[in-house]
Amino acid sequence: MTESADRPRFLDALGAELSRVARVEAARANAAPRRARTRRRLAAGAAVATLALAGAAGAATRVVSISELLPGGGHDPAQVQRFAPSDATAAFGPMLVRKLSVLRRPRTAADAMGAAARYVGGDVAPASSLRIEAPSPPAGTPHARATTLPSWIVPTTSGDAALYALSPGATGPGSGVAATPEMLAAGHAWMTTNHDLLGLAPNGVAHVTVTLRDGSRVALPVVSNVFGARFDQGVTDVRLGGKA
Amino acid sequence: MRRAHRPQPTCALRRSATDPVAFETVYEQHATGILRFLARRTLDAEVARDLTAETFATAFDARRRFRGRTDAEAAGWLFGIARHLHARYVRDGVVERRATARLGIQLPPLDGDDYERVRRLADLDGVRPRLIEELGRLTPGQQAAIHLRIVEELPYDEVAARLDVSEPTARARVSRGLRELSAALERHPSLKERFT
Repeated sequence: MTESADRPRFLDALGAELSRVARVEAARANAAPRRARTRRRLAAGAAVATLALAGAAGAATRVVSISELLPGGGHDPAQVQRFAPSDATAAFGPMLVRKLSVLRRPRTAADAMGAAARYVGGDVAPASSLRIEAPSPPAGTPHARATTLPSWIVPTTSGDAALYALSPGATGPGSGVAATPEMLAAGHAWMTTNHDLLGLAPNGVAHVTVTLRDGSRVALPVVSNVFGARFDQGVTDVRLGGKA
Repeated sequence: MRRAHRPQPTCALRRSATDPVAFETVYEQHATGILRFLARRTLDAEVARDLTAETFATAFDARRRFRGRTDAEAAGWLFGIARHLHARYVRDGVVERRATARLGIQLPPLDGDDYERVRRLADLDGVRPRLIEELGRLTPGQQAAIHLRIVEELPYDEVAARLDVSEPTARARVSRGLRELSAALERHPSLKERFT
């Protein structure tokens, strides 16, 4: 008996998970110097804007505009909490709020996690959860059908977005992944629970291409930044597709 | 003046300190070996999967602390982590999942074939005669707990219910029994090679 014939299949899935983590870290490392430069530029831009607006109408009444002028927003959760339009938006980092329009929608009672909030980690704020629903794959899409996983986006204490899904028949969220702006941009903000896929894509992305265990590829639509489906086999990769 | 060119380390684990994607190679080189190592010690496919995942997640987290230069040294370092995590599992009866949780790694499910594949990979059938012999030396409570957990593959809450004990007690009986079995099997000359 050869070793490859004895290799359990879950080792491939575990390898894909580790590979995803490694690639996210590589993307983060590559983005770090650029982020530092961007922060310096933003700080300078904000100072100029503050002076101009203070001179025109008084700084105290125009701070919201300054916040809006920041293209990247920096990472100052306190500033965002003061001026963001809804409580849910306030809890997410400004970079994510810019990239995910779903985070800007008003929060309603239907967004609450309810009893499932007991199962999320201590570093997230379930009080600001947003209920999301993945769009159904178009009729006739091979290997895929609509996922019925109850799912939420929940802010973490560091301003990132944790994606949680309740496993079928379970009493608590079966899986979760914390999405940073870098992960979102790199197409790594997705998770699987058994054969259900759920993910977030930045504004402007119209579809994603999912690679399945047998090598086949399936296109899924992205609506309100969310995509997902239940497949008849495991998912090995997700790539962001064309712009809307 | 020309800057001296520093060659890339050939050891994938060492390379992964600056190039995280190189860790994929580390996994491919050692995943099967680590799983076999853990399956032979736990005799439980699911626990072996959990410990394998935690071993690689811990290694990924700590990869910058690896000071070796060769693949052999990398293997020794990885197996050291696996051995340490297995010792904790035996002591506490639960698999530590700190590193996998921190990295957001989801544990893949085992399908029906995977149980059989783990059994073949670890040659658990070859271990079985010696195992049955050593099993007879354990206390009746430990024998029953191991039979329910390892042979019937019941979850711990079910093992506890069947034995009319608390779940921590059931875990303790299984882990203590496994520790004694593991020690006995490692002492046996015909199996020593397989368990090191």
